[in-house]
Amino acid sequence: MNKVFKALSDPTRRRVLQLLRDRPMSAGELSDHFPVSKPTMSAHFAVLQEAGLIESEKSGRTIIYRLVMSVLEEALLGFAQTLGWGLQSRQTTRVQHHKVTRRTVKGEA
Amino acid sequence: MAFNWITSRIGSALPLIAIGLALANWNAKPAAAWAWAAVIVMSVVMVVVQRFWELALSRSPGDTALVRSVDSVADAVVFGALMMIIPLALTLARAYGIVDDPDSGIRRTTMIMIGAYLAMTGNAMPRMLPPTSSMPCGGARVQAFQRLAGWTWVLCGLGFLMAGLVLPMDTAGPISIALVATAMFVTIVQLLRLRNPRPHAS
Repeated sequence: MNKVFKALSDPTRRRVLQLLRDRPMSAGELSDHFPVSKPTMSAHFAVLQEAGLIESEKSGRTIIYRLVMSVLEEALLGFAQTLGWGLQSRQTTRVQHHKVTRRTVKGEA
Repeated sequence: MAFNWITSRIGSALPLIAIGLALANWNAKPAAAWAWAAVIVMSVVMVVVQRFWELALSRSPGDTALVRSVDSVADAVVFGALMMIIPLALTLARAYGIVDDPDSGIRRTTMIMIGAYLAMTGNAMPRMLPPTSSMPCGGARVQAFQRLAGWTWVLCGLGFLMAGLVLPMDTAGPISIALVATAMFVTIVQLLRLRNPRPHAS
């Protein structure tokens, strides 16, 4: 269950799950929806697969991902989406990163 | 993993407990011999079915679909055996004068068990998807059907469970039947829609 919570804590991974709710999609199709690199997307897919929320299937040269979420996990996804899990930690990280950058810039000046 | 191991061990033991309780009830109340015999036959069938699936799994241990099927069978055996054991134990307790009126208790417990089983089965329903390559329409419609069916049966199971838990038995019976009928209707309608291909937009 820990892996499920970890997987649902990231907004990108939640968005992937939402996209897969409509239909199974290839890795390329999913990646097109996000402004991140393919290795980053692969890492997200790996986390989701490890949590047992998605399954991959090879079809020729493409990898098709499909949702294998139970109703409880889907309800958790809904809660996570509504409450915005992970957003706070991300914003905190961003603020900290910003502070560190400003400090470095001031130090250099 | 540990949960599966426990389920498997309990799944093996529970039908045997049911047989023991049925024999004890037979001894205490021989007039209902046919009912006790039916319990024994059902328990034996459960053991045989479980052994059959376990044997099939031992022949091809890497088959993930088979592993899922064996898990489903083990869960079904646990719930089925519990649904027999609880009324059998209460009936035996009544026969020996330990419990005065177990009828309401038996019905409530059975309703709670059935509700929990329906909710758990519904919860697992969206995960029971065949490979995408074997599905028409890229699996989108099958996935939508399984999600809807899953939610329908989870809500039906929870309603069933709550009815057995809090409502008076006179009200809980009809409400639970209505819930199951509605869930079945929704599932059948969706299944029929799934079987009929959508007309192509011209």
